[in-house]
Amino acid sequence: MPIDFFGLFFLGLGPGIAFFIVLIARKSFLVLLALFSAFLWLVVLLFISAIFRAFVPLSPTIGPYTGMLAASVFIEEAVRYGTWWLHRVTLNTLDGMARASGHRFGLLDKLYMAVAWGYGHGACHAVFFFLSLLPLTTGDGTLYVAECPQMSVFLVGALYSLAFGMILTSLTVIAFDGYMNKNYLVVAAVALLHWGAAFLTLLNFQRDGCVVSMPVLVALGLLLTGYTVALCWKKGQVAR
Amino acid sequence: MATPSLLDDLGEEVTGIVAPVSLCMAVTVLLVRLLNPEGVSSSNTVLIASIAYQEQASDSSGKKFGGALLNALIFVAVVAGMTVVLFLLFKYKCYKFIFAYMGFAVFNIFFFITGALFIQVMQVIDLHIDAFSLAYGLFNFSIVGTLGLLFMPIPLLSKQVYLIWVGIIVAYIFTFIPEWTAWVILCFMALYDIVAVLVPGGPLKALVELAIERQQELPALIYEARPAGGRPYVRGWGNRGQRGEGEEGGPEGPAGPDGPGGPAANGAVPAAPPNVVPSPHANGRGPRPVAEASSPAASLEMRQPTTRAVHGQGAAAGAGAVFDPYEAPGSPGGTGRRRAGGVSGGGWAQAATTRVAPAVGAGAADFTGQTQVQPMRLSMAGEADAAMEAQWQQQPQRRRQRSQGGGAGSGPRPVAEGREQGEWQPLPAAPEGGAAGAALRVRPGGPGLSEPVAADSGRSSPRSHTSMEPLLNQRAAAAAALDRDLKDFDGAAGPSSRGRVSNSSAGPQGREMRSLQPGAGASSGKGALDPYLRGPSGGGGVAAAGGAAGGDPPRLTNPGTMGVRAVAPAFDAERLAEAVRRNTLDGELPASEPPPQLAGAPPPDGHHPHHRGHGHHHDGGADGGGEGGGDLPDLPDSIKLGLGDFIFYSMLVGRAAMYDFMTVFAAYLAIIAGLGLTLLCLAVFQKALPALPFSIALGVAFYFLTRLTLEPFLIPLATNLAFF
Repeated sequence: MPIDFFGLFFLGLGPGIAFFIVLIARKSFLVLLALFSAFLWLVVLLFISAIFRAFVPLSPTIGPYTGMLAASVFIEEAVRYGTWWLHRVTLNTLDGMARASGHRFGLLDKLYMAVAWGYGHGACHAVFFFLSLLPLTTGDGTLYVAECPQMSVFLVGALYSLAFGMILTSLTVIAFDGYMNKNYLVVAAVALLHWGAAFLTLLNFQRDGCVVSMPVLVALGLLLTGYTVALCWKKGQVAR
Repeated sequence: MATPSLLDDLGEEVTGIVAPVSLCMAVTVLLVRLLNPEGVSSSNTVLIASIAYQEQASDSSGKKFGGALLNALIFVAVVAGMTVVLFLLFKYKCYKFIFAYMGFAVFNIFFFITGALFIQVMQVIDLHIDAFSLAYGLFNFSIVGTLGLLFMPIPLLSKQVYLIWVGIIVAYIFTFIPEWTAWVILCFMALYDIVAVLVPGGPLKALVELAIERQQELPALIYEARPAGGRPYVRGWGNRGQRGEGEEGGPEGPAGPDGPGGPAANGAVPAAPPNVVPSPHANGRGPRPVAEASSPAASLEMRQPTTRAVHGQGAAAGAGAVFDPYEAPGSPGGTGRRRAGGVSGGGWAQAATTRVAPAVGAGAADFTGQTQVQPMRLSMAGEADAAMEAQWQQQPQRRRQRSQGGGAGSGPRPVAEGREQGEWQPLPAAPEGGAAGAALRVRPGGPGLSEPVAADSGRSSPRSHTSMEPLLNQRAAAAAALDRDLKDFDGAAGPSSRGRVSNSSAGPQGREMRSLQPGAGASSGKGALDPYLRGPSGGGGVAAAGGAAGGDPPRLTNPGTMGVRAVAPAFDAERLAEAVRRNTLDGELPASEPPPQLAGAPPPDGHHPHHRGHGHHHDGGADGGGEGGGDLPDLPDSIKLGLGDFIFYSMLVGRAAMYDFMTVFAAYLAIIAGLGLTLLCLAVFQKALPALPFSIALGVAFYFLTRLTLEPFLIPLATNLAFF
């Protein structure tokens, strides 16, 4: 039904789209960076799926999924370090360009770029975990799993997109900040938060677990977003 | 916040091409999902793709693959054959035939196929329309589209939309090619693309080279991602304006050595190197202007009949003196100066690095080209007015000619037809000219210059040539517009006649003018805001300005920023859009109207400053190669992408849409990444490159990887509500 489709679409992706239009689309470079980031994370997803290709479908129990999520998040965090490296190289290049041209390229711009990196990450996950499946809702019918009679798979997916869109974007910004300040405590916290968020979704294997896990995830996303905004605000003040 | 951020407009060239490609793919996917969600393929829809083998669902994979190979071979052979035929037609100047055929094909796409699709869509979404309205609308749509794409100038934005529409329709049709055949065809087309564009003797390469040699545009449907006055570019331009002010005199220490004198001299920027300096433009990108200058000049010269070319030379050689900036008012400046201004765009930066000479030379040659009538006048200051008058009177005619010639528009400039040909041909006869076009331009440039320029021209790609012009044009236009604004602002100074003169010069020659403006435009864009420039040129219309400068003492000599500010607001978004729109109409406007160029918007392309800054030189698409001292390779401002690339990208995505959306997104990201890679190569190699290989390779690979590994992994994950 179209109503399902659009409702879930805007629930899951609306905030992200708005964010894109308001912040990222205004600067071509950020758009390209976000696209590149999304592409990179797609490659990572392909890599992860290739690793687990031999094991799928995993038996739908909590055990194998725990291992799979742990490994996936580990790989993603490793790649995040790689993106930090790329980010730094880009920053250096742009710094040079800015110096040569007399343009401003300040802390705020670097934060923008970190946001674009993170946005690409979040968008990539939202697209492949949720948006790809969303067209199924245009047909008649929907899909529920036994453990979560309260929400359809698609609603869970929409909430996931919403929550992880915020979480992944924020975590990237926070992690880049941690790397930049060589504050590895922050980096570790980022990795732990990512693991924590992923493991929270395992609650969905428990009966009625999704009623707990999804709101908590969204709350976590909001919390992290708030923290990131505060961080950026602080940096922005300093930069000025 | 005072200084503009580097991120403000970095990468707009790329988004300028990524956006339309994305749009084309998105609509194709939408159409596929709407009209053919099951992925029904029909062997009859694209006949040549199923000549050898008709795919049956029951066939074995081996048989399908073998048949698909055969089909794809035939398909590619047909495409290659058509390219060769096109090349031969182009070579032997059967333009009428080419255009007739393309017109026929495009009209069919716009009328019959669009109509059929439209009806299908209406059926699917349960809407009704009466036959008469549909036919009326379709007919108008298709006539405008056909004429606009091939024969007449239309606003760039609508041209782009029409082009994208062609891409969508053809891609949608191609999605009916049976699955196996479709994938093999995609791969083969990518390979063919490599061969045709890169291998010496490849048909596309030959075609491109021929087009360059003849200074014509390719007789093909090519999407040109130059600023269409859309929002981002307008914004970019705004940024640029500010930046211009902010940075002016930045790195380039000597800025405004002749501060006071500057204003007067500035009108003649090209001729006056010192003046040049104050322009923010000169900053750190010395070499680039050269490139710019060279190509415009070249194109101009190409058009001149032999004698004129000679004159041009003479003038170039000798006229340097004439163009002394300080003679400005009332001097030959009228046109010559203006022209010079144009060239100067390029020239002036040259000036920065080299000497006046090149600029002047270019300017002079230019001038002759422009005024086609009396090259000699240019050296006689007193006669300038007369010359201008004459020129002015000729405008309408010439313009008409142009438009008849089919070449009129600035935007959609079809391949030149007979008449223009006539004009161009003589060039080779020119003593210096012909193949030596490059040399020709260079020569006046003096010793130091010639080398880089030549190299430059040698390397120039079709993109660079063609793409640069419009842009420049816009800049010139911008300058002109500013000029006018200033006049208004001043309340009087510019006698209408002068305005007209400058118009006249700017107008008819739309194209040349355009080509003239590389730096000037930019400079004016910025420079216009620059008080120094503004003064003399009668309003910063540097380019157009020459004219104004010709007669007028500086109007706004006050360098105060207030004046600047007052001008800037005139360029609001609507105005820009409007201006750009009119800009593309030049062939059509009555002579008495200010030529569209004048009204034209500044090329709102915001990145110039960057180029400037980074020492990226080739913005107009003039390839500056590596001599800029820029640390990074740079893209031309206006990137051109053949419609075929749109079609095959979209076909790939459309094909992917028949399987699943996950594959669509994966293929999309991969194609865009491939496009980015291609553009990177373009920036590095600065020549025409095949756009299919990277994108198709990545797209196909990601399609199958996604289908075979990602999906079996993600779907259980999502249906078990586990995420990471």
